[in-house]
Amino acid sequence: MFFRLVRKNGRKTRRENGIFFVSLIISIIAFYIFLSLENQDVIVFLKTMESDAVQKLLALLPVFYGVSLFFLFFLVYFSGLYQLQRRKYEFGVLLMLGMKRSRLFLLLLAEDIWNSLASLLIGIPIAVFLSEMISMITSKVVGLGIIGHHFTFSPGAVLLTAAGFAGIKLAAFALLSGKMVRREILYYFQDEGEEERRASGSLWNVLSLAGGLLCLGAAYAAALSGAAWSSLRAMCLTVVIGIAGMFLVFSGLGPFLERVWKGKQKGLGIFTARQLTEQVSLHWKPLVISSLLFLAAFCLLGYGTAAADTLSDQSMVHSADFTFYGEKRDVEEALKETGAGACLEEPYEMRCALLYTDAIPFDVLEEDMKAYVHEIDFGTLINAASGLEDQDERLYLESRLSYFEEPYLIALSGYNSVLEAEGKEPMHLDADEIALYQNPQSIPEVGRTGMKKILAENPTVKIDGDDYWVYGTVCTEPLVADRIISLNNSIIVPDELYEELKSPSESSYWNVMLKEEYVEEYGMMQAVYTVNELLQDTDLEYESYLQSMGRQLFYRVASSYLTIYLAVIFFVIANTVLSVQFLMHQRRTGERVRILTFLGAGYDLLCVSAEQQVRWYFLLPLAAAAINSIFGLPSLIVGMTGSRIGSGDLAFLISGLIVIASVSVIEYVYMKAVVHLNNRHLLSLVRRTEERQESL
Amino acid sequence: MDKILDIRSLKKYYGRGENVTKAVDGISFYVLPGEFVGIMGPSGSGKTTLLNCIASIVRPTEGEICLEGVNTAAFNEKQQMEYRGKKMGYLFQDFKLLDNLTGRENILMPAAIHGMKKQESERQIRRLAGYLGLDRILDKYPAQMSGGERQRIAAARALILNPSVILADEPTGALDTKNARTLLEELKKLNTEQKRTILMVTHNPDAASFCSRILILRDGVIFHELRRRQDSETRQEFYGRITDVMAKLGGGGANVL
Repeated sequence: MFFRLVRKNGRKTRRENGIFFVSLIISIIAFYIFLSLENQDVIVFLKTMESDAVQKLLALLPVFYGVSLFFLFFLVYFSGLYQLQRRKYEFGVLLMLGMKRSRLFLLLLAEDIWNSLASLLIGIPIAVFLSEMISMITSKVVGLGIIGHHFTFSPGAVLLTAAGFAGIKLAAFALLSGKMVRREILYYFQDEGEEERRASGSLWNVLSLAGGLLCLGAAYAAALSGAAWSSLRAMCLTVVIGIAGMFLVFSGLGPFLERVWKGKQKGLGIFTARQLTEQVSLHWKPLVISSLLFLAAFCLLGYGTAAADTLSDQSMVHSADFTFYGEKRDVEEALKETGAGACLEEPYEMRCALLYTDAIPFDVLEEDMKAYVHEIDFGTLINAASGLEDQDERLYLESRLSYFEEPYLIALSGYNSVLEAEGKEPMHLDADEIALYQNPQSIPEVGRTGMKKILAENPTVKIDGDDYWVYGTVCTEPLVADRIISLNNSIIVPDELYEELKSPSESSYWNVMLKEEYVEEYGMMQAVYTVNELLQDTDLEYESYLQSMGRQLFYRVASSYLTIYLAVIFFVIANTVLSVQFLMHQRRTGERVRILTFLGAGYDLLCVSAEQQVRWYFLLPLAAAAINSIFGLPSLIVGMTGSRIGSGDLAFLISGLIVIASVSVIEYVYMKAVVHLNNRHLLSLVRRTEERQESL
Repeated sequence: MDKILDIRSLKKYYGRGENVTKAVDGISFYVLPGEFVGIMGPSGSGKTTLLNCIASIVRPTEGEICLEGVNTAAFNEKQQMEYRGKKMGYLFQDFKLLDNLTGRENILMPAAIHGMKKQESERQIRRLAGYLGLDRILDKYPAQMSGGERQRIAAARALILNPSVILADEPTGALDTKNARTLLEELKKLNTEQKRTILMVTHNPDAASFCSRILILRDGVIFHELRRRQDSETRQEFYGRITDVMAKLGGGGANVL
């Protein structure tokens, strides 16, 4: 009998609270996918290249796991609270019939375990399937190929998911039912009291709203100007001011919204307006929390999807798949012995050397090196930079050009080989011409625009008293396979001049490209990976494009996984908090619905009013989050890239907007689910009115 | 004179077969315009069920309820919604005011539900406020009003659509003696001055003494009817007759009358 009751009640709970049941399943899916990250093809692959970083990421997982459990606790707690309130009368009857409190507690516990098992049984298979899909899609997108994919099931992730889930379920259950079971029996038969209207003067509301808007404005300004990112303290201050602003705005918002909503007097217009105002005035704190969670979810989703987008956007144009250090003969021999040479094109040389100048303290140089010292003067370039009108450009270039006092020299032939390997036209320099070279990653937007302006003035550089024209554009192509290691503040010079100026500290690199047909057959990443394995046992000192790619890929995969995961969790929790808060308020104010039916309001009219309430109640925090994210997303760009929003960041913004649009669709579905649930509640109220009257 | 309300062989049964409970068992009576009719009877006699059938809150098992010649018992749900509030004003024992609306908004609610024009509803509320002395409390919330004030607001709400009949279910049940008396005097005033037709369920002989006719129910049928002799009988004398009947009713049906 006991177990039949458990099963029956469990089924009923799942049916009547589908929205929370689905929320729990989504959380379980997110949990499993996150915890089984280790088995994802991309991560398995990255482990071979960036094992330290991957290990660090995996070591971070428990922290994220703990944080998400903490947030999920609220989801479970709120949905549990709603369910217990809904079934209060039933518990009262059971107690009246003589059921012991301990047995009631056991009944509730058994039901909870039964439902948790059901959600795990549904959630885990979906999670495993989705995890495999994500794994395959990511590997395909990043060019790993899915040939090597094999099915993985992570029992550890299942166990952790189940354990974490059971832990928070039990904690929430103990809190809720512990409180409930201790109550007097009379409590179970009493209707929940309709809440007191919050009495607050309009002056307080005006002050609160104005103060809140001011705080928000200050936080927006700090975030957009980049001041918030200047230090941890500034960031904390901005976040605190922003959150305080949100709390103040929402606490004073009720009466103002009432004026807007009260405009519609038709039908149940006034009633709807009052219900909404009451909800906002009484429950503004959960509204703010939901709104902040939405904002966090928007920003994380925007950032995560943009990062995921760039996975497929890895620039495949590069000048070397491998860069070897050493003599050409050693390199060729090693390639031949390992068989790796069959997959590679002919190596080409990339030469660079430090230019010894007066800027190097004379006493530091050994005596025999002093003969290599040359005079170089960037005076005209620096003067041109000083003449720039834009202050940011001027300050940046004046300081930047001073670093050219002891530049690296790059031989033109080597640089042209780089260009050819990338399929670009070689560069031509006259005998009296040089070109500036900079690492593309180290030039901000102001540097680019400023440099373009001064190079347009045809400046010259003096080397050993001779004038050399400076080439019209700054060269930025990566010189070796690993993009992270790149020369900065260098000059490209014709080979004859290079021979004349180079110091004995010359370095020679051998760049090699993979054969095109090999890449076509196996895919870029797989091909590099195979050759890399062949070369692993040789004494050759080298680095591969894969290492650089792997590093970048790791950052992107890690950030997109983590951000999307957190966003989903935040999103589910925010929606659950809103749904529960709304439905509980509707339940508490059920008597009002009964009165309206006595006055002639039909079920349809009540449903229209309830739907309007749901729409506004959800839209309010969502709209606030959307407005905040309009400032939050650009601020993320400012903070992450250290520059103002440029055209390159447009993709980021667009991806953010796409996220907001798709989130709106999901939100619509959520709202419809709440409306459906509430309409059922309304129908039961309308019917109960009749039944109650009949029983009199 | 045309009957405003004509109840014919009205039955409301609950349950089936041997377990059937006859809450109302073939009641017939009519009410003339401007009458103030009281319905009395012991607990379980079917008085509230009868009132709820008339108010269309409960669908009768059999019989007809003709309001101004139209049988409302055959109405579908939509027609019932139209009928509620518009043709019938209802006064509840516990007022049933919406606690999140002000007095004014509570009164205006039926007008909004039934689509009364704003100008007309404003005119009505001014009229009712003057008549029932509501000006001071119109913008207060129910929580800020006394019981009597709440019931006056409820009365105004019941009257705003100019219903044909006002149904009152123990309207003084939650009021103290002073407020109960004031409310009954107001109802009486509405009946005599505005010729409003009122049907009131009560178990209180004092409240019933304000009526012009009393139907006494027992076991779902009309057991007795008392009429006040308008010209020759004072309210106190009528009250005496009511208490006599009720005492006899309480002492057992076999000895009554």
